[in-house]
Parts: sequence; structure tokens; C-alpha cells
Amino acid sequence: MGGLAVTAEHRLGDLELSVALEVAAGECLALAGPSGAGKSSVLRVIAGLVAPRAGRVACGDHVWLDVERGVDLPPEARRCGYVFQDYALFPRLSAWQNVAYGLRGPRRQRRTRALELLERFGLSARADDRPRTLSGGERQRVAVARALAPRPSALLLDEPLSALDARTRAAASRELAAVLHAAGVPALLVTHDFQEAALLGDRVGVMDAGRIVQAGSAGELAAAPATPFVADFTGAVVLTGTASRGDAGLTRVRLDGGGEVSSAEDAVGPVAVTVFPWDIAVAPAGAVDPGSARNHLEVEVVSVTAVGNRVRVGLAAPQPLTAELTEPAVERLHLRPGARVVASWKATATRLLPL
Amino acid sequence: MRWFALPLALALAFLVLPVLAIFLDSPPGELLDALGEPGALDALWLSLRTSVTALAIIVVVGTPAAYLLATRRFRGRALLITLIELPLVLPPAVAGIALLAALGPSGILGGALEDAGIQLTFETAGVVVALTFVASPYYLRQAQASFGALDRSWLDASRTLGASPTRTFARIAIPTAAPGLVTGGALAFGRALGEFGATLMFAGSLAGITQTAPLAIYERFATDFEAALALSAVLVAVSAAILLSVKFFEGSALRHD
Amino acid sequence: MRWLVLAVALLAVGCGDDEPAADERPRLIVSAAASLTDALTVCSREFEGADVRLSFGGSDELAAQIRQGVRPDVFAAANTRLPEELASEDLLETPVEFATNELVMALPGDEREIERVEDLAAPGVRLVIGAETVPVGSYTRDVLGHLPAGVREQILANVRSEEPDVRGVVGKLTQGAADAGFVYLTDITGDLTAVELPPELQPTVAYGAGVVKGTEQQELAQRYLDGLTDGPCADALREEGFGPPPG
Repeated sequence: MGGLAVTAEHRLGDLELSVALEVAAGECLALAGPSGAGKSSVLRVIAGLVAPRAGRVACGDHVWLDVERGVDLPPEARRCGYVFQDYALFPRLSAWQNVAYGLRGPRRQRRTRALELLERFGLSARADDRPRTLSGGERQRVAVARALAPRPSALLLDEPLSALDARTRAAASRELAAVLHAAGVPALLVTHDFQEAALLGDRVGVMDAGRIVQAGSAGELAAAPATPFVADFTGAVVLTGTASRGDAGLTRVRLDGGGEVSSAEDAVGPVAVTVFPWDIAVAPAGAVDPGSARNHLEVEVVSVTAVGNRVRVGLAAPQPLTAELTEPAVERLHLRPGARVVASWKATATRLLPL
Repeated sequence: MRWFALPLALALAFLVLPVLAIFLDSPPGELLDALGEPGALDALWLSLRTSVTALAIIVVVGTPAAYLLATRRFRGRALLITLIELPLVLPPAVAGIALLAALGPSGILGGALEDAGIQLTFETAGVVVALTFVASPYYLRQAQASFGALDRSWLDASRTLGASPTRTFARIAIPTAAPGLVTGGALAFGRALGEFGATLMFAGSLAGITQTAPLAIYERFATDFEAALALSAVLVAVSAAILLSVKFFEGSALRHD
Repeated sequence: MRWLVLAVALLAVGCGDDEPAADERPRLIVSAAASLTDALTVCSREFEGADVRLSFGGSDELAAQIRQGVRPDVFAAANTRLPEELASEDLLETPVEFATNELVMALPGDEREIERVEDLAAPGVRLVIGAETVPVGSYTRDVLGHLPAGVREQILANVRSEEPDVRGVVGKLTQGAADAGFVYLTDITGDLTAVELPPELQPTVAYGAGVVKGTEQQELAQRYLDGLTDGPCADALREEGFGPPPG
């Protein structure tokens, strides 16, 4: 299985799309950006649903599109799985028939394989039901199963979690992350939610106005945003840990890799902890701020990046953490890579997302 | 809100009364007798045959055409749609003239047809042509609307799963749009069954060959009103049966979704 | 709310016609055979004292309407049988004959091979005639009835359409769909050639008309009827080629 290599230039209404990206086999690149940034268009170009003005799409050794050379395979000739935003399940076919749609061969064979996949997604009991009778989460799983059934060479997902309610989304994202890694093919996912991108993507690319503005790990983007837009968009820091009941009605979260924080929200079990960089105060090590902030973490400064008139400070807790300070504050604290400081923020500013 | 009942009652009375009168104006025994008379059954059979043939042509040619119109954007699409819908607003007499001007013996293609040995005037084939012309917009319009209402992502999804545009059309578009297509077919069939003016002008009127039920009714109206009533009653019954079975089909299809 | 007012206003305008003001003329409704179209349309405009509304169609269809309760003021047919029938059913006042016509065999302008009625028996001839119940159709059958049985049957076998009125026959001829047809002399247009029938075959084509019983315009209707034999309409009929009433 090869990786996905894409370049594309296209004009869509007012938007001028211009992207270049690569996704290795087994890797998931998450494109995050506001609506209208052109994210779905990138997927449509790769799938062959839109022919760009210029560009090239190759999956491994197979060239699906090469505008210069006049190569443009139709969608049905590209082995590209696509999970649509509203799932696009065929309304008159049952769940197993949907999953089997992309398969060829005798009916029994197709049904067997479809049932296998549904089993893996925990949907065997719903195999003969029509999409209308399935819940949002179930439909999402059928859609993913359907895209995977024909063993595609690449997987594209358009906002795979956004149609789900908050509770379902948590479990679904965990499942999806596992599926993506098991599939072993390059996966490209688009979302308007940076947190989702951070959770599901091995790498994240921030898109705005048709271009990929910055790409890297989620931590890098938050810690060292290249532009104010990226800084705004990446917003919250995401840590992972395990939550349990604490004292005084607070939730205690043991962070993966060390450290403990408290949150005013309720959760138990694996959680994602989010806090906005501008809610994080930084003080020299050893100085305990007697303010109402409840969370203190001893951290090491990894990077100091100026963005406009703000400064993003990358910290390691050891999980990556990002604080946003003013320039004078950074001066006062003598922050530079390697310095050991204390990051603190309020328990009420700590959001928990069950995983 | 209550005063709305009055216009509804008026509309109902106005539409239902003439139809009921067909059945009530003469004793059923006489109606049945009049049916037994030879020309009547010939006319009914001819009407059914020609309408079914016209419908078959309309569906076979019209379905892919409507699909293309509904799913592709191309220049001049709006104009094309208007042109196709034109026969809808043409009075039947104008339709007759139009067919003659195009396919009649002195028409644009008249010479070519004659050379090819195709005879339309005075032939049953001519009736089928006339019916196809006046009835096709009824189907095309409905089919186009039904295909247009399909969620495009279904069609895209089908393509990404390896199905060619033709396969997508057959396996996804048609079954999903089916209720609308059936309605369109019923409308077209009803229109074809009732066509009078264009058929008379283009194909003429001869018992067994070109005299369809409406033409037979018209002939009998002047001399044998009972026979006209009888034929009308049968046509009403057939049309009602078609309408009801379409409603039934639509309803059951919706339930099975 | 505004659209409601507009709709009502439009309705009022549309129906306004039916309410004649004191100085507007009364209306006279005349049902007449299709073959009378050209003659009566022009002359009726000159009818004094009333607005003449003409309704043309196959005489049998018009008679059927009268039987069904549709009441014009005057009925003019292409034969005398229908007016007499209606009179015996007490639907029409005593009818009068007001014109005669001639039945001819009509050929499209470029037809060369047909010269006599008997030629219609040749195989492959496409003949169009009126339906049995419409006057032009029944006159045609009278003509054919005078021919030897074998010839008659072959001619009838060549019939390709039985039109509900004479205009349909003319139409089929002018489009070039038919090789021959039977129409009235008065229907012959520039595109058609008329072949006169020999006197032994020529049927008596007499047109009869009468005042419809129960009309509210008794005097006007009677005057119109009289005008068919003596007046502007009589003149118009002569001009179109109709003969004077017999006797």
C-alpha cells in the first residue's frame, strides 16, 4: 500500500484552492479549518468527483489524476473510500446491502463479507434494517464499514463526527481512531473542529481560504502557530488522562505521562482535558501563586513564538501544553527553551471530554 | 378557518358531479348493452394498446433523458427544459398542427418518412406518435423533479464505491425516485388515454385503426348518447383504477422505506 | 388580502359582459353547420339590432347539443332531416329550407389519376369521408349507394378516415394525407380540385333551419331566419356558392 500524494489548483466560486499534501500509508492527516476553507473540495478532487484546473493525485504507484498528462480516472476507477458528511446511506437498501454495495461477486459472498464488517462494528443485529431506523452513531458506523468493504487504497472522511451528538461523538471518535489505524491505508479527514483533528489525526493541517496554512502535529500547531489565524483556530490545548471523583465536588484527572489536574466538570474514565492558552498563567518554578487557580503543573519551556502582539509559549508537562502571554510578561519571566516554570489555571477553565 | 370549507365543497361538487352524472344518467343495464356493441370494445382496446405503447416509449426514452437534465448542469439547460415542456401548454389542436407540420405528408420530414416507407397518417402508428407527443411532458417533468430531489451525495457515494454512472442510475437513482416516476407515468398514461384533438388531426378516425375511445365517444355523442355514456363510464373507471393503484403503490413504497 | 380584491375585480370584469347595459344590443345565438362558416361569419356582423354569436360544428353534433338542453336561438343544418327530427321532438319551430349545396369529389391539387368516382375503387387509394351521422358523410353514402355493390365495397374499403365534420375532410386533403374525399362544393379551396358528380349520383343537398323553441329572442330569431333566404346572409350564401332554396 502506497501513500497519497496530492497537488491541486482549482477555482470554486470565490475560492481559489491551492494545496499540496502527502499522507503515508497507515497515517491519518486531518485537515482542519473553518467552513468555506475548501476542505471538502480537496476530498472531492482526490475522489474524482471534481476535476481541478491543474494538479496530480497519486495513490502509491497508481496515478489517478494528472491534468498535464491528460489522465483523469473517473471515481469508480479509483479505489478510494469516501465517508460523506451526512453518511449518504442508500435509503432503500438495508445496512448489509449498503455495506455490500461496493463488492462484486455472488450475493452470498457479498453478504458474508458485509456481515463480517458489521460484526466488527458491533452492528450485526441491525444488518437487515433500513438506514432510516438506525441511530446517528449506527449510521456513521455503517458508512465507515461501507467505505472500507471494497478494501480501498485510501480513505477520505468528511466531518465524520460532526453529525453526532456530544455523547455519541466521544465513543465514536475512539472507535474511528482504532479503525483508521487498523486500516493501514492513507487516510485524509476534514473537520471544522480542531479538537477532533487533534484527536484523530497523526498530523494536522490547518486550512484557510483554499490553502494549507500550516501542517504538523497538533501540539506543534498550538505551540508555534505560524499566523494569528492558526493561533485562533488551534485555540485549546488538548491533554489526555484518566478522570475520577475528587474532593469538594471536583474531578481529579491523572494525566498520561505524569501530572494531575482538577476540573469543575464531571467525568469518569479516559478523558481529553482542554484549556485555552490564554487561561494559563506562568510563574517561576517554586513560586506558588496563592490565587484561586487550582491546577499547578511543573513544566519545561520548549518554545517561545511571537504571533502578532502575543506570544505562544510551548511547554512540556511532559504532554505538550501551550500558554499565551503578553510580550512584557514573557520578558519579565525570562522565558526561554529549557527553563523550568509552573503553569497554572483554574479548575473552572478546565474542560473535560470523555474519550 | 371554517369558511375554507365552502370553497372546498364547491370545488368538490364542481369536479365530482359531472363524473357521477356519467354513471347516473342512464340505467346500468343500458350502459352495459351499449358497451357490447362492436365498435365500442374496439375503440377501448385501441385506446389501451396505443396508450400503453406510447407510455413504454416515453418511459424508455424519457427516464435517462430526465436523469441527465436533473443531474448535470450544462449551458442551455433551462432552455432545453422549457422546450421539452412545451407540449404541456400547447392546446391539443395546436399539437395536431405541429405534428402535421413536422411529420405529416407535407411536413418537414414527410418526404423522408415516405421514402423510408413509414406511414403515420391514418395508421395506428400515427396515433401512438400523437399520444407520445402530448403525454411525454407529463412524465418528463415529474421524472426530472424526482431525480432532482435525489440527494446528490447518494449518487457520489455510489461512484466512489465503484459503480459507473449507468450502474448508479439503475441501482440507486431509479429505485429511489421510483414513486415519483410511477406518478409521472400514471399522469402521462391518463393524458394519452384522453387525447382527442391531436389524434384526430394527425391520424384521422377509423374504427379499429385510429378511432380511439375519446373519438368514439365523440362520434356516438351525436346519435347514440347512451353509447357515449357507456364508453365514458368505462374510461372513467379505467382512469380511476390507474389513479388508485398509483396512490396505493406510492403509499406502500413510502411505508417500506 | 390585496390579491383577493384583485381576483374579485378580475372576475367582475370577466363576467361583466353578461350584464348588458340598457343601451347594449341583445344577443342572438346561432348554431350552424360547419360548411356555413365562411358565409355566415361575414354576413352576421351586419345583422341589425343584435349581437350574433355563431357556433359551428357538425350538424349532428349541434342537434345532439340541442337535445341535451343546450339552446341556441337558431339552428341551421346541412340537411333537412335533422331540423325535421328536432321539430317532431318539439324542440324546433317548423323548419324552412334556405339553401342548397352540391356534393363533389375533391382531389388535392396535384392529383392526376382519379377522374371519376369509380376510380376510387382502385387499390391503394386513400379516401377520406365524413362519419355516417354527419350530413356530409350521409350524403356521401347516398352517392356510393347508387353504385354497383362490388364497386361500392371496394371504395368503402379504401376509406382511411371518417371525420366528425367536413372541415376534417378538407384538412386531410389539403395536408396531402388523402388522395380523395367528398366535400361540399362550397368547401373547395384553391389547393383542391373539384370533380362534379354525374347527375344520377348527385344527392339532394338541401339546408334546413329553424327557430329553436323556447327562445327568448323570438322576433330576432325569426328575422335572422328570414334573412337566410332574403337578405345580406342570403347574398353571402350565394357568393360562397350555395344554391337558392328549392322551389
